Amino acid sequence: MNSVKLIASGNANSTSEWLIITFIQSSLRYLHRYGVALPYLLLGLTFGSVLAAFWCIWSMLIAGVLLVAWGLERQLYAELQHVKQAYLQQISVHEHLQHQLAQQSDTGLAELISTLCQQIELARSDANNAVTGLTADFQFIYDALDHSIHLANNASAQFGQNDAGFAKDSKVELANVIKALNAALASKSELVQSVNYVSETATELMTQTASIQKISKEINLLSLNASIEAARAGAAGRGFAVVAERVRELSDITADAANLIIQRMHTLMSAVGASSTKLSASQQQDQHILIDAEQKISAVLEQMNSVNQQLSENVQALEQNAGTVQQKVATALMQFQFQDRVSQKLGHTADALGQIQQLLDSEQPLNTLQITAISEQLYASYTMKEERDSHQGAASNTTHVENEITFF
Amino acid sequence: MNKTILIVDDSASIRQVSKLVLTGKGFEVITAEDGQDALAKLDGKKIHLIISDLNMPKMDGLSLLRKVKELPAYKFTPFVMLTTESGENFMAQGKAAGAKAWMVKPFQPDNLLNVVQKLVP
Repeated sequence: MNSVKLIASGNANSTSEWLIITFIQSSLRYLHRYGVALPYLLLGLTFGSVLAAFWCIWSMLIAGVLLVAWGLERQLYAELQHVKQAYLQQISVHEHLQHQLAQQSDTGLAELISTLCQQIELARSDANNAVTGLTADFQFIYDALDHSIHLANNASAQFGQNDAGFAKDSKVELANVIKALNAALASKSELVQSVNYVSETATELMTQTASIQKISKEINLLSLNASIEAARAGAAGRGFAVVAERVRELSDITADAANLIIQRMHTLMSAVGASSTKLSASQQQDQHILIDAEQKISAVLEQMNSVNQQLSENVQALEQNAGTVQQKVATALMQFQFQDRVSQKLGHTADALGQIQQLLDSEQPLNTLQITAISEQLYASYTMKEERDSHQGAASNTTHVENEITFF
Repeated sequence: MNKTILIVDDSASIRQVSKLVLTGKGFEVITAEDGQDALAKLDGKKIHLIISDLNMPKMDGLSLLRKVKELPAYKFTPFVMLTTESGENFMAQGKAAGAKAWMVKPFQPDNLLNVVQKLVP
């Protein structure tokens, strides 16, 4: 049983002992079975003893060697254990470093996402302000053009075309001026006629005054004859002589008055004649002036019509150009609607980044479920078809105009 | 007397563009930045049409629509949604709340005018 135990133990020394014992046990069995052959047995024992001694020495050597080997093995084992401990320690340090690095990486990523969100908000704000300003400026340009077109319309209506508007008014006004000048000329002509009439009347008066002068002379002669006849009659004719003297005196007075009238009439006729001459000359001059004015006014009106037509054409061209520019500005204004779409897209992206940042800030490692949830939430927040298409990887058309109208 | 239209949108450019299109056709236009602002600006005024965005801060378009329909003075005022949202679910909600039309942005001026002239004859 011991041999069995020794074998089971697997030790090298125990194996040597087991071999010796087995040999002795076998020898005893052979001696008992084969006693007659004792000499052989003794020889065998001797040989066996020598062999055993040799075996013992050999076994001791082996045992020594095994002992040394065992010692080395223990030392090696201890060293290996030390190496293992060092290795495990290094692994632990490595894992700790990795964890720290991961934490630092998450913190850095969260900060980066925060920065990206801020940049997106800044870009949204800038774009919003810029487009709002541009829209206001374009609105101002549109209104200014509208005002210009309105002014051009008014100017066009005021200047008119084909004798309408301002030109027509000017022509009428100038015609009225000519008419007034003609009326003044006619009035002057009447004045000349009146002066001529005065002159003729004065001539008639002079003739009549000359007749009075002649009558006065005859009365004077008659009164002289009457005085002579009265003197002949003597005392009876004295009263008649006084009457005749008185008649002569009256005749002289009449003659003096007639002379005075004739003198005054000469002066008057001279003045009237001079006035008449001057008036006639003035009338002729006025007529010349009037004719000249009519010609000049016609020329000016014609020139004005020509300029007016040119102006009208220019105004129309300006009006058309302003209208075209206004339409273009209106179209450009419509294009500013892109800002609303861009702002919304940036807003959705910023919201998703914000959610990722919150998860990173919680210091819990991100997992696939959380990422999927954020992605689904982002998809649900989309309002535009192109966003959904882009999210699903389909080619998106950024200039796509949906422009749908649904009446309920 | 010109018809008055209330435009509600958080985007200043959309407000300005809509105003430009409508004032060009002789409409009086009042603008508001969100649902709350719109309710404040109603203030008993005679409004012939309300055009509103859907997604806005403070109060969204659907909430505004529901609030407006609760006000006796504006119960029958036509309400148009002008939004980038084209989802059928939202359109169904708008219809149920009493919207008269749903327009998807960006819009063409003629289309906006057609909608307005149809609802404000």
